[in-house]
Amino acid sequence: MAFAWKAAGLTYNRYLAVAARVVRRSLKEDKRLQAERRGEMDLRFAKWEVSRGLGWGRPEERRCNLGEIVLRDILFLLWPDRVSQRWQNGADDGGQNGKQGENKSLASANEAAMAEHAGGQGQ
Amino acid sequence: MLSRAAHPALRAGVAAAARPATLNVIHPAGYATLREIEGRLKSIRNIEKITKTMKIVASTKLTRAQRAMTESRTYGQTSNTVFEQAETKAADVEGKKTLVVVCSSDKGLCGGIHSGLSRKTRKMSAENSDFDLAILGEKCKAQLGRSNSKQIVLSFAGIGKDVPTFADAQAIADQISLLPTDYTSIQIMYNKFVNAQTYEPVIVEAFSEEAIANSPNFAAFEIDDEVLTNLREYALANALYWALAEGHACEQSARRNAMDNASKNAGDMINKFQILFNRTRQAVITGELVEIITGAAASEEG
Repeated sequence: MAFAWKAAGLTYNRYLAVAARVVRRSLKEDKRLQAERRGEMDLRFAKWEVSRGLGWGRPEERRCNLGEIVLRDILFLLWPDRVSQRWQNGADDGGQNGKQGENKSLASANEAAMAEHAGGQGQ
Repeated sequence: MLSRAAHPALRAGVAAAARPATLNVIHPAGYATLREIEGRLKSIRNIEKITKTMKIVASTKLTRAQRAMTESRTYGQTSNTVFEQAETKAADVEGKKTLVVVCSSDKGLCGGIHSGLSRKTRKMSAENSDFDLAILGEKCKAQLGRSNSKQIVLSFAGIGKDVPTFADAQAIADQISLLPTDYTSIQIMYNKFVNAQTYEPVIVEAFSEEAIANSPNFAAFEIDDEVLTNLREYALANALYWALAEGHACEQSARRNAMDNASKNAGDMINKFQILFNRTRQAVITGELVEIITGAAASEEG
């Protein structure tokens, strides 16, 4: 059994979502408005990557503002052992700085990922 | 200085019932204290108004959330029936990688509902930290981001604004199935709605393909291997939808309770401060009268 949607790189859930959207759109006006409200999705997501051995990486890898960097440097000079332990294992990545807290729209990301997946299969 | 100035009224509020007679001794300057008490009374009244409104909003949302929960239960239970009939058990593979999906939401002010989930996650991680985390909602992300940031692979935001839709669950399930790591089991943690007052964090399991394929009664369903992935993805979306809707209902009921308690406490405080205010005002008036009478008596004599 070969599915056209699978060849196009869609997941089953995505396929269902598209099918559901089509059905909702083909309803009569009053019913359609109600039904489309049930299909709304406005989520954002973020991928978390643990940067191993971050501590003293390249400047752009340091995910904190300038004040924190200066503070960290001072602290490092004072207590090298403690500071490196705390910061190098990335435990201070509160999630909001830099890459980790970046919230991307889930819908567009899903589409992009599947398009990419499909492109990879086609070649 | 500012904090010092605000303190006497606060302390007096506590001591008001215990020793009203000594009030004048504590506050020689009656007028200033009166104004302080008045200011506090006003601010507490405003807070009470806000919490009352929030409670009403939460109650209205709760009825909707509960309806959505009963509806979503059908999705989860129907999907579960398949696995019950097939007698599916979690695959017992060595070195398996587990993903725990924590269903919280973005909004706070609802008691310990999010920290309950975080606590359970931390407890699990203390026993065996060999699992990854996908977190739905900002609240648990902030809490677990501090303690378990290494385990987090995904986090979602924008949950809990409204009743969760199946489209939400599908998109999340998609993103989870697109993760590079192949998880042998996915556990969904959410707050189970026991009744309007009680909820408890529980875990449901979304089975992996091997687990489904290995279940004893699996042959009865005559499922092709090719569509097995679909079944798994769909089951994950179903389970997520159920968990999201139930978590949402819990959150609203918890918020309603929290706001109810807050309004009650504010009411208590208002009563206390009102009494204190009246007493202090009376004391000031009496003091003035005494001064006038003594003054008059003194001038008469002279």
